[in-house]
Amino acid sequence: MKYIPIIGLEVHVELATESKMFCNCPAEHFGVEPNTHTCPVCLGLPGALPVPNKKALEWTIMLSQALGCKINLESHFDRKNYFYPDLPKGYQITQYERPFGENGGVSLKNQESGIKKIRIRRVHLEEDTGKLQHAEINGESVSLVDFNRSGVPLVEIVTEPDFRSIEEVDEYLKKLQKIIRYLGISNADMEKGSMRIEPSVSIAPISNFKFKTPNLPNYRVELKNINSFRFARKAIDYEIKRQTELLEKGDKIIQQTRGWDDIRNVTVPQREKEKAHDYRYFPEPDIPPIELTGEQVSGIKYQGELPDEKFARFQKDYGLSDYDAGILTENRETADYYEAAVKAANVLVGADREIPLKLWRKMIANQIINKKVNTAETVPAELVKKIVESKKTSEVDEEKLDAAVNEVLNNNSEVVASFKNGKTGVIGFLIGSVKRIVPADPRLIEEKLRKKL
Amino acid sequence: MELNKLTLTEAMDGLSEYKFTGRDLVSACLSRIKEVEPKINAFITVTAEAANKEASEIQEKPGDIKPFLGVPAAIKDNFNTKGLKTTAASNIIRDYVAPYDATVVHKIKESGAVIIGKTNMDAFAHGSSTETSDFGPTKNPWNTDYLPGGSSGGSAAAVAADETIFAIGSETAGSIRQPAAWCGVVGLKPTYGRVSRYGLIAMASSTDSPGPITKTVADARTVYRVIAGFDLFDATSADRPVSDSGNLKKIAGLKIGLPKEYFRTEAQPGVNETVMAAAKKLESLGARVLEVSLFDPKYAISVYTILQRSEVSSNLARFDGIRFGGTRDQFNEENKRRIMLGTYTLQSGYYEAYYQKAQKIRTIIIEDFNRVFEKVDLLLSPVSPTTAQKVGASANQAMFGEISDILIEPSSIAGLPGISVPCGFVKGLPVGMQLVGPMWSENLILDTAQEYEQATEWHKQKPNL
Amino acid sequence: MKNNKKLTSEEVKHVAGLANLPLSEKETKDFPEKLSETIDYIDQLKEIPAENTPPTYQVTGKTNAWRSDKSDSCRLLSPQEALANAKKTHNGFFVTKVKWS
Repeated sequence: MKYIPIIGLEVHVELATESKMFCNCPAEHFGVEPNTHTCPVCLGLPGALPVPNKKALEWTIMLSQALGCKINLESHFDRKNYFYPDLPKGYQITQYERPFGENGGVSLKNQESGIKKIRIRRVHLEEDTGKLQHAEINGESVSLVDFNRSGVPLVEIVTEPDFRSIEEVDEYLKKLQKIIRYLGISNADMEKGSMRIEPSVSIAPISNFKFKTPNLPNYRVELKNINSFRFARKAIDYEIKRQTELLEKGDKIIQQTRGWDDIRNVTVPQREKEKAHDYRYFPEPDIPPIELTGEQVSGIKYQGELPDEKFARFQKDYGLSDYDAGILTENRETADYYEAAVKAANVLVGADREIPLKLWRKMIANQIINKKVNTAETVPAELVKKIVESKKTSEVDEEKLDAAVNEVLNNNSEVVASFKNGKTGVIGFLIGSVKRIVPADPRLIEEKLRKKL
Repeated sequence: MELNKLTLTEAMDGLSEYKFTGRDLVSACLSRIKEVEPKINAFITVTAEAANKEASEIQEKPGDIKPFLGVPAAIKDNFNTKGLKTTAASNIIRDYVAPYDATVVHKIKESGAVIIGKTNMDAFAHGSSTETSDFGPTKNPWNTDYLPGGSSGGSAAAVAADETIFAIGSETAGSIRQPAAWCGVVGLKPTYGRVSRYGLIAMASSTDSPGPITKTVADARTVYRVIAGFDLFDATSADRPVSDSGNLKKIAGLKIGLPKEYFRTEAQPGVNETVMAAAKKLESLGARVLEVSLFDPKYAISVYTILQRSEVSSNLARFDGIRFGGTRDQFNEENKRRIMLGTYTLQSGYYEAYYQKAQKIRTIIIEDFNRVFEKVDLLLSPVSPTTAQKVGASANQAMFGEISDILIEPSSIAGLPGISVPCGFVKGLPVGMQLVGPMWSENLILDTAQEYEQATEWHKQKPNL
Repeated sequence: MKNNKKLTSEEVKHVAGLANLPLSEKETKDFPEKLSETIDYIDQLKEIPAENTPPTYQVTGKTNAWRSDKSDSCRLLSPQEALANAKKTHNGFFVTKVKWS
């Protein structure tokens, strides 16, 4: 039987604020000596009280809006009660009843049907836990606890179970990461743990699956301990296979939490998470509710272009391909660099319109995409000057160059054969031959030759 | 002159007139502590050495405004005091040395007061008797066979026994006013949010209020002025000036309501009558006293019990023995009972019926007070339906505290300020009357209480120890 | 029918589990009745209709209490202070048993 995967995602993102969520401790915790960034609040000492970080609130609302969510003007924090050694207060301050953002969505480019929307159920703000690591001390197996991370602001983005393939998950995660980086609210680095994902996976027989109004299975398996895109793919892939095998055997799949074991490449049940949970949520009495006005919320909106908008504009304004526009809008810095270079080209070569602007745009794009320029060290205007320089010696008619390349290749079949036999050094001879016919940039000639060879 | 018997006002006057030094005051209190502690057990920690040292090093610097410079103060042991043991009277943190000061403690220290010790209380403030302390019960200085009330029983007894000049207590629903009443001293419970809770070991976060326990109303006002005010570290603390609540208002013309539901038929004989006599006194001072009707306080007991147990179950979750303290089996039975009940009422499926319902009825109680405060300026009633009860009375009475605090709980739930002022005796034990006002009306309450106090002699009576 | 609600010892065990609270034998035996007594009391609230009353979580009416995003060291604890009250520490870490009871 064929099965279709049904996947939902919970993504946690640490906000890059200067201070923690509820106290003034520095939020930096990566590579910091253990328990050096703590105070009575984030250490959960008796009597300490939380005071929310305004920027973390604003950034969560900004992200919610970027993800198309409706913003709850009236909101509050809740306590989620459970015991774990990395949770100092015995409860996590989170948002349960009234998250900042609800009912948003992210569009994916689905190959078959054009565009697919992944629904975002909620975006809420909470605090991170401390960090546990296992160790042996005097033959005893223990956990070492570091509370530097305790209380770092954390945004949770929860989707509906709308993913039907690993590719969709992958695309969503990359897109989400891009948006977060555009907003400048987190580096969203999975390896450093500032972006963490928890997929929940189930599968259903494809034969009677209703795509329009999904009839979801009555279980789901939550996957934890995933700290890279690669592991995410592997863990989901493994889980789909595991569940398929179980169903094929006629077994029932139980609802559970499983952790990814990146050594054995399997998911394993997480025993301590198996206990039935009752988080006993109630409104956090230590923090008054949050009441915002529509104007306040509009004021927190990201003023720049979001990746999708920038992508569309790059295609429209600069006539770039999907591929080129995609790479150039990968992050804000590259996009800004490209635009600055195009602007510089307009100014520098504005009068000299031998090369049409359209070509300029393409040439600049190529320079950046093929990493022919170190954007960190070269200011955009300099890049343009470099291109102009090289053009002076190699301004060529593409057609003439192509013809010359073909001519040289046809006239030197022996040299071509020896190149193909591994004597790649002979390419210099070919380049020289072409250059004698059309005096172009040797790099460009080489590129063309290699393509043909 | 026995310096430990001085009121705060007298002590401050004497110090400023150089009649004696802070060192004299501190050593007078410490020797009194030495003398009566075996009988009273009001303190968990006495900081004799540190206090003596601090007092001997006191130096007045010109320009310093330290109103309490050299005045001994006792702090309830649920306030964090940096470098001092802070036990909340519980075995689970019996040896805990706080690494920081509660905001109230910080303010008291900044004002120049010398902390002479940490006072006994019901463990984690779970009680109204000080009998649930893991450090042994405190006894009532008026009769050591009797309880001091609680949970701030140690603070109230220490003030009544003249072991200190003043004390700090905390109230969630009665824990300042009820022990003040039973020990015959003054206890002010400020409006919720008026005094910072930062560093106060939380009981019920939505009603906890620190406040002074003192020998006179004037003293209560002085201490209140020092500890009140907005605190950046407490998100629930009120961002409004302390002096905003009604300037000196004379009793003449004041309308005082006597809620008929608060003069309960099951009250101990003599208590209602004593408070009625106080009402007459206020009337003779020019107040208009009229009967009013309030929502039956018995429902407030349920509301309070649910809110308090629920919040307790969450607030005590941090005691896991990893960062501080012992393991969770070291909670005493009363603590465990409250954690259990609160865990029960917060469970999914029960939350709406209990916690949320209680918060809804809280709204009804608040509206009820608002309605009455349209007719009267203040409310007058007994603090507790009884005088101090006998040692042992709280054992095996699951609702002992709730019932002895029945007349206080409604105003606590509503966040209202209230004061307990001595107004007489029944069978040799003190009776306290309480004045409750609208939100932020501390000044009106203090003014009225002070005028009453000046017209009576009750606060001058001292127990025979 | 009032006062017929009794907490079973099974429920007591479940709640104790949620509360991470080890109960003594005596407590396990006594709690069903003692807690039921309190539950009976608080069930009085059922007499009051409040469906349409909004809950009050904060009596002061305060909203939007927040601080600006500035880190400072005024409350920062040194690792020595942070660890001072812990029963077990190791190289600057708190130490706890692997298995959480």
